Amino acid sequence: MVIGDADGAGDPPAGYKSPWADVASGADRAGQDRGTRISGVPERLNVELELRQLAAIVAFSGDAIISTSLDGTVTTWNRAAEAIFGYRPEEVIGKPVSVLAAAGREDEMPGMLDRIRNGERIEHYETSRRCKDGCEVAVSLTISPICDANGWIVGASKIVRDITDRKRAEANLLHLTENLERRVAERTAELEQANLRLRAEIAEREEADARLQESQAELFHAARLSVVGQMASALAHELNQPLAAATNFVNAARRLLASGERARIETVSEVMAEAAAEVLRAGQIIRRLRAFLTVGGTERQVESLAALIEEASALALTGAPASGVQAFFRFDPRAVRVFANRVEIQQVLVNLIRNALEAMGEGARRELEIRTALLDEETIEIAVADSGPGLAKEVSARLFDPFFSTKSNGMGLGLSICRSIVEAHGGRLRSEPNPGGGTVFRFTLPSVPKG
Amino acid sequence: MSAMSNKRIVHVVEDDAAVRRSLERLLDSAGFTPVLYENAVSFLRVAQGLSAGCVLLDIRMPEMDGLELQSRLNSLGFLLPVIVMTGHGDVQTAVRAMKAGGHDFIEKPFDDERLLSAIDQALALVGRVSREREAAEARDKTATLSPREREVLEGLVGGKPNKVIAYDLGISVRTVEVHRARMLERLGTRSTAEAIRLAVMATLAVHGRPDP
Repeated sequence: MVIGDADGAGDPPAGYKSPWADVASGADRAGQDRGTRISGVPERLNVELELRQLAAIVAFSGDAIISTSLDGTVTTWNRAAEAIFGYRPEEVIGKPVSVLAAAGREDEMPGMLDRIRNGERIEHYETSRRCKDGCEVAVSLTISPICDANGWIVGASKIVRDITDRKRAEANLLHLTENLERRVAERTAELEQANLRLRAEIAEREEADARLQESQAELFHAARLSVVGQMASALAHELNQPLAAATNFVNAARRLLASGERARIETVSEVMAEAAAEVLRAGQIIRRLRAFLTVGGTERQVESLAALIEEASALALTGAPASGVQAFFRFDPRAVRVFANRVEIQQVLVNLIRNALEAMGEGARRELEIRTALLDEETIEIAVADSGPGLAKEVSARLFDPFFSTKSNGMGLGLSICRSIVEAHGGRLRSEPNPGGGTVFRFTLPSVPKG
Repeated sequence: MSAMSNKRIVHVVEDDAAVRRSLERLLDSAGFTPVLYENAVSFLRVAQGLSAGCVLLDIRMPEMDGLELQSRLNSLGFLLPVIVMTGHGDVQTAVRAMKAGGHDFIEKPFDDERLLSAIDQALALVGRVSREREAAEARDKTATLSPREREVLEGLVGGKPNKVIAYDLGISVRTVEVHRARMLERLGTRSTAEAIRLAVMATLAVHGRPDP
């Protein structure tokens, strides 16, 4: 199809009525239905040529171009109109354009025609129209007034663009966007849920850790109580001795004073000093015991190793069948300070020393040796050695198992707790045969460098 | 005074240096002549040659405890009276010591009057009163007790506190206290330890050994 062809000039394409044909006869109908007159319509020269060109443009436009009279009667109907709406020209020309009105939009058209009658234009108005087969089609309308030769508005020219595809694409896009947004929202919600769960788990774990630490401290404390319980009768005896001695000294002093002999004043003073020393001795025993029984937190600090060992051995040897036992201390001058919980490490030492004493029993040679050594810059080793009969192989294998005991009254927790304490300090506890006979228990602790 | 002092010898067997020293001070101040031994073995070494004084023996000592020393002394035919020192609340041990031939017992820490009177009594016994005689006297005294008072005394000999005795007898603690006070009165003593001593003595057979 050729637009504005030379040979067919003057004739509109076959089967198409010139959209302007009615305009030419518009004057006849102007009397019946005539709109506003638009002034200043330019004079047309060479009208016929122009008309043919316009007719071709209209005929082959991709948009439907329809003209109606001011009362809405269809006057022209181009090919695109047929393609979009399915009506052939002869089916609609002369019919009211309202056949195209979509359900629910019947009121739209009269209003539009009113505006056209007033000389207004309607541009790119998006709405929907009904096709011949009843389907609705999304359209964009541009409506302009048609004037007669005198400038009176006599009809309306409608350019109808099928925007179904665009609408569908838009809808698709909208759908996709919504989908995307929904999935993002869902995923975000899932992540938030997961995050919440994670946080709850972390809190739970922290709580469990705290509980664990607490119960470990309680266990260590209970073990100390148990050791002291086993030592109780011995300790009572030990405490009784200085009290008995002090009582005797004071009574002796009282008697010396009562005798009234002047020369004895000096003696009285001596005796009173001896009494005071015994009361102090009783106090020390109680202090050691109380320090040992304290529920220690998990607090660790820099401690003097020698003081720590001396205190612990004084307590462990208290009330023990200590006489006849020779205790040796060999302190490495380079192993001075440890980073430890004093009460807990003393608990380990008291346990090991008392085990050593029990192992040696009433044997002929009873030598207890406590040695310290700086293994490397960060590690101190403490060894508790006895001269007892040593450990049987099967005992040695299960030594650190909880509830394993060779003692008739033992709980079997002492060494297992000692190991827990040492390991909580980042150290290790092990046993080995003492080369001279007996057993050596060795454990390590973090050293604190000088300075 | 020297002849008198010789008769008032107290052999102190005690492993704790401070307690030993304090007994020395106390006995000195009271006019006795203490002789100190730091363990059972060193006392055993000289025991057979001793003819005067009494023995103040710590029951709890390493190596050889007081009970073992006492049975060794018995087998040696040792005749001097032995006063056993026990820890506080250790009535069971005291009763065992008495049955093993001990003359008296005293709980640490002790009242000096109680110790000194126990020593006085022991010294007065030396070579004069036989253990049989003493046992007979104890039996006479305990015979004056009512059945309830006797039950309370037996509870004390068993080392039981008032509360436990009350529970065992199905009576109140207050009632136990009343029986206990009356029992002490009848035995002519204010000391529970002395009452226990009498009770143990009373169970001894005529030949001076405890009933089986």
